Amino acid sequence: MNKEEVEKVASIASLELSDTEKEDLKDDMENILDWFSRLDEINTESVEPAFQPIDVKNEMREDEVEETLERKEALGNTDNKEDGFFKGPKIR
Amino acid sequence: MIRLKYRDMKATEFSRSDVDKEKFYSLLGRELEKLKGLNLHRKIDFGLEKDGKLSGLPFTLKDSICSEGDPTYAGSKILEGYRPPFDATVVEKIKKAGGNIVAKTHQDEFAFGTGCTNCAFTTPKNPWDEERCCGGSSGGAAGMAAALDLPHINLGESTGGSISVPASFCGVVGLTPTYGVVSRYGLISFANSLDKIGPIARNVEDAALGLEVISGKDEMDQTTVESEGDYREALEEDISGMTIGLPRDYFEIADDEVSETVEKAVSELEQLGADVKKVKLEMTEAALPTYYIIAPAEASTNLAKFCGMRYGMEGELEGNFREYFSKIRGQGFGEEVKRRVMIGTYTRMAGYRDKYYIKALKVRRKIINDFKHVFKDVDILAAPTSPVIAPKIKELEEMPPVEQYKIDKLTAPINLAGMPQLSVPCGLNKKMPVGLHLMGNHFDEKKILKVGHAYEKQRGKINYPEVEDDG
Repeated sequence: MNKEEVEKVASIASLELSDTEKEDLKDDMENILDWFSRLDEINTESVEPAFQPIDVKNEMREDEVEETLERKEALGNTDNKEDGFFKGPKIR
Repeated sequence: MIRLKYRDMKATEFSRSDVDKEKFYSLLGRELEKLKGLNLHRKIDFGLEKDGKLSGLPFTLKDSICSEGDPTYAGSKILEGYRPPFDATVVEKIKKAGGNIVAKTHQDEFAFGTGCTNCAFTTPKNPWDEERCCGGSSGGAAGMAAALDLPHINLGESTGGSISVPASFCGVVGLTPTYGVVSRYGLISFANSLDKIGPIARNVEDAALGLEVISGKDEMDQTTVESEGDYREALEEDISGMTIGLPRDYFEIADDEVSETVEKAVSELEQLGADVKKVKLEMTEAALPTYYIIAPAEASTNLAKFCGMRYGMEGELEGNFREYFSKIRGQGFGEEVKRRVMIGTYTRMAGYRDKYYIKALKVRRKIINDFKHVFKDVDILAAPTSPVIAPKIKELEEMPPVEQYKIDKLTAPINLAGMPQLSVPCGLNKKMPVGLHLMGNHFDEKKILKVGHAYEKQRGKINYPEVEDDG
């Protein structure tokens, strides 16, 4: 891990970090990743990854029109709104 | 004294006709106020409920469970001020059954923690010793069960041990159901393939009632299955002839005094007629790093939605979206959250995904098979819940992350396997509670509940510490 790598990961994660945080995270991540490497010793040849602990099957149904949140309720937790829509930052 | 009347009253007895609901609720208000100094909960407005099957039985909710109109912050600054416009399925079920939501309990930020010392707002104190932590991440919920001597049920949530560990540290009963038994709709997710909502209470019967109320299939959560209904029905069954496996390495990993306390509890189960045999689990050492790859990987995608829009913390809409999102997230997330978002993002990145994330999922398969294999020979497993008793808050705060993670060492494996667990208090070590962890195969809730109940009867009453009124 070096500072550039930390910055790259932070940028993918959309996370602004101070220089001290970058330093600390560099060390922490190094230690943690080192600890993860213990799994290298485990033979997982021809083992299927377990995305879920039990088998989960998709259940399909026809789409139905149902009641949903009122627009006012949905917008009730933000100040950034305009004309009944959420307002976000600029794309560029 | 009206309070004496409710001493030791079980939640299951609350619908009795001699309970004066009005007097009870004003007493509850005073008792909750008295607990303020322990930092266990956030007050919410509640009214008088007395109808329905539960006739107004009080429930508390972990801060990550949404209830309509109530502050729900998941322990994070980034959600401060959020009041969900809807109820989580579990809350809907509680209300429908006539339960009353009376408080939100504090937790580690987004449930990232083993001691409840990562909460953005406060640090819950253990009612047994205020210098010690409650355990994480459902710390406030477990502390509440220990401190509030009135009939009630607390809902917690476990990803890697967040119900069992705090239950063990606070000397109360924590029930983590099989993955899929309880709907997570309306839970602020940590890791979708691991999260399980479950009850924390003073006794096994109340925990079973809690599960009865909240379990069941839900269209809003595709992983859910039909409820088995009455989880209390098997409680009084004889446990003689049952085979209880003791995973040898769990007892070796735990501190000696903790293991000895749990061994004594196991010998009581033997006296009740259970057969006890030592078993070997092969994957214990691998489970913790596996958990700490999978959980943050899932969390880092779940937490992408917290970006200063629509709810929670927000600022002036300056700069482009990347700059704005990064700034808000940088301000709103705490230290451990940043660490896990970074780790989780890294292990899913091109070039590392196979080495870490996919590898961990394969090891997880081996862990599940390891348990499945053992459950061919035994009905349930019994072990210490955590290797340690509740650490001091100060000690925990100074501990490096990987050391802190070890508190989950005996709960991470079974949580990765999505199998049910029950932590039952089984004695004290250095005046702090120790937990007996009963673990079962998928959907074997009733087995662990009946063993827990049988043990509890044998053990007798626990003398919970009296909470001083600090003004």
